[in-house]
Amino acid sequence: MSGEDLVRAVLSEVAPQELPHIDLVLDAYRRSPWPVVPEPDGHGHPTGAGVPVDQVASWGVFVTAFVANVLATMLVEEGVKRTGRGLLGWFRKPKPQLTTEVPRLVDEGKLAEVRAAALQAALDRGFPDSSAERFADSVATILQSRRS
Amino acid sequence: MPSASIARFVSAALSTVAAAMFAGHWFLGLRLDSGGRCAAADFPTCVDQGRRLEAVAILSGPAVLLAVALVIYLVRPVLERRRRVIVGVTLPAEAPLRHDVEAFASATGLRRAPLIEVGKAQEPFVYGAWPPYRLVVPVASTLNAVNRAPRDLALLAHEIGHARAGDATRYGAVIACWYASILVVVAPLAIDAWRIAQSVGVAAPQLTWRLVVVTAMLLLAVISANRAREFEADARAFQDEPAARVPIGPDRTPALVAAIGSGQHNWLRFAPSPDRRLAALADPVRRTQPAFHDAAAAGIAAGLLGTELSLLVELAFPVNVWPAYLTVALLTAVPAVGALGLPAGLPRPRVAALGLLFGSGLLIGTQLAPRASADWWRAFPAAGGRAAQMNLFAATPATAALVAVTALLIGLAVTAWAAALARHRALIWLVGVPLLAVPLATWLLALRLAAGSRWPPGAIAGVLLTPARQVPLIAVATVAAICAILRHHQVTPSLVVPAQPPGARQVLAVSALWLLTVLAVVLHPSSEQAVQDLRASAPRWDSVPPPATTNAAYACFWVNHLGPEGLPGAEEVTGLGQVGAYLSTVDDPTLRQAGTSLAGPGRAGITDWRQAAATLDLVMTRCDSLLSALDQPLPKDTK
Repeated sequence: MSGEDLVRAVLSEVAPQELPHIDLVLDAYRRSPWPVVPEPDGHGHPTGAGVPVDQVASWGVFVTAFVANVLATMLVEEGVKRTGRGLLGWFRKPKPQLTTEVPRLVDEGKLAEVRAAALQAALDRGFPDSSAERFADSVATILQSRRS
Repeated sequence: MPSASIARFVSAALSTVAAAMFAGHWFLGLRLDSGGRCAAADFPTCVDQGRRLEAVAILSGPAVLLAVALVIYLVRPVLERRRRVIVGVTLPAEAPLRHDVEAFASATGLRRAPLIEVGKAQEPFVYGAWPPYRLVVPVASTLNAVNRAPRDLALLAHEIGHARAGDATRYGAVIACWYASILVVVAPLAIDAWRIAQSVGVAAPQLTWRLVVVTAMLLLAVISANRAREFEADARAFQDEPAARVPIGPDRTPALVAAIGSGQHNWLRFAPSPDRRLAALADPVRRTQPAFHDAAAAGIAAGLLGTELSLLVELAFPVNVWPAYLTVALLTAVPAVGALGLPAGLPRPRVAALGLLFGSGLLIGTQLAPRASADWWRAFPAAGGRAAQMNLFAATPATAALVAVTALLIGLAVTAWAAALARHRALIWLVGVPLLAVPLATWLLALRLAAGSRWPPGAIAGVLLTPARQVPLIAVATVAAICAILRHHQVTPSLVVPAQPPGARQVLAVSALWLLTVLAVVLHPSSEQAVQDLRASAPRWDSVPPPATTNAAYACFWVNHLGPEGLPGAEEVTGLGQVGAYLSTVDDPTLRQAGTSLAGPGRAGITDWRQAAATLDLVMTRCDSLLSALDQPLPKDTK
């Protein structure tokens, strides 16, 4: 199961209505990745209305960033290596690889750690408690089902 | 009248162009010292060419500014796209967001829906140099459209409002003008003035503070223009047909209010505060009511433009300045009346305040103009009388006070008249422009005489209140009074608008103005005495004999000592004959030739006053040129 497959699997549980449109989000992320939790004073439009990000959050965008950032850092360290080679690599931002295979989880402790990270990320992103719990459960369930 | 964002754009653009005119004159006119390079041979042709070059120099400022602004204007969207758009990601044709955008665009009357791009920003925005504009939506919005998120859709409606208003063009132009003015005008002028501070003296700091204030004012205009367009876009988000409300439900107000009202805001942001946006949404009158600073900005822009433009137009009318100032005032009044734009039904105190602010702005604008920084001919002798002082602080206090009060009265009268006829836009353009232009021309000329020549109020009135100059004022005041009276009779009996003031006071005010103008002309002969007194007190050609030498430099000292007022007038034939006879003996061929021309046949004096005026102007110019080129001590032996 690749990172993208994992995104689709999680999304089918937490926001199935977004699933038909997730390809655009994945495409955009490949070209210009974004953080899981946008910075409070991020680069919004200088003349814009200043809408807080929690009011325009969508699951697809969040799940993609979570899998490619938090999860990849925890489970697929090679996936976040710099894509550039040589000297240029020092100057390039790491581009997480959503196409990289997600390894099987065999450690119960690691699974709990991933679930806790998912819950925290969703809460940080501004999702309500119940939705955040549902998201963390679905991530853990999918990774667990892959293990068995 | 134009919307607030258009009015603010006009004010900002005019101020920028005015400052650029001075920059052109500084670098290509004053600094190159073109008048001083004319040799004696064929001096008149050289002077004519010099005038043309000076005009080109003045025009080159706005030309360079516009060229740089155009480049910035065209490059900004490209940079915006590189910085904030995820290039290569295309929204599918069947995406719900695309349907929403098309529905909003159709509802607001946009012929071509904006092109949709997916962006890195957290919020949607519209950009582009011309329609169809590009609507950049955050990645999240493509999914939120699926979720029917009301805030996203409300924001989308707001952005479509921007596209419908076409304000991306204006805002891009304002920003481009501002950047270009710093690059082309402010920075180069300030740096160059300080570089030659030793020769221009106090003009360097005087010029610098004016440039800094104009730049700050332009920045405020940019912010102001942006805030106005946000209010307009908010308003347009509601101005749709009921059918268009389908995408986000029957009432989008709560969603839009929530979206714009919950954002973080600080005063440094270009966008208006949520509180102000909510207030503007709740009370539509706030959007149409002109702000006080708009009236002041319109006045400042007009004052700036009038002052800088006069230098250019004087070149076209080197002998008679009245047509020059009338042309300047007409050219200035068109955008000023547009930028002033008043809606109908304004309360009287507000109209009065707007009028006074417009008049104050007019006065401030003339004093903020870079040209008013100094008597430029002192630093650049070949600049001639056209570069005379326009700083009102150089005038006597009584004259300065009179000129200032007149500016306020002009602003008050024109604004009150325009407010009374606010519903008749065609009339405001047709009559309002000359109604502002004619007194403005007189006022600008008065300012020039007060500041540059330090004339007392009586003498200024004597020169300006002549029938030839006041006939246009009487004509426009009469037409304006007739318009106001006709409108009064139309509106009052029918009581179409109960809140509308009856207009009797405006009619009285306009009639009073008309009466005062006529009286001024009737009383003119008494005021003429003040001019004669002034002329009698100044050194005259017949009271100060010419130096007993043929050396042209000494002759020019004499000419400059007399000045334009001390030399014989164009119609004083005897005086022309005597001055001409003296000048025809000096050792400069140009002055000799001019002297022969002034002397006329039999040394009785030239009778063609136009030729006389042109020749006297030539004599002054040649003397400026000769004295500026003096680089060695004058001979002691003057025989």
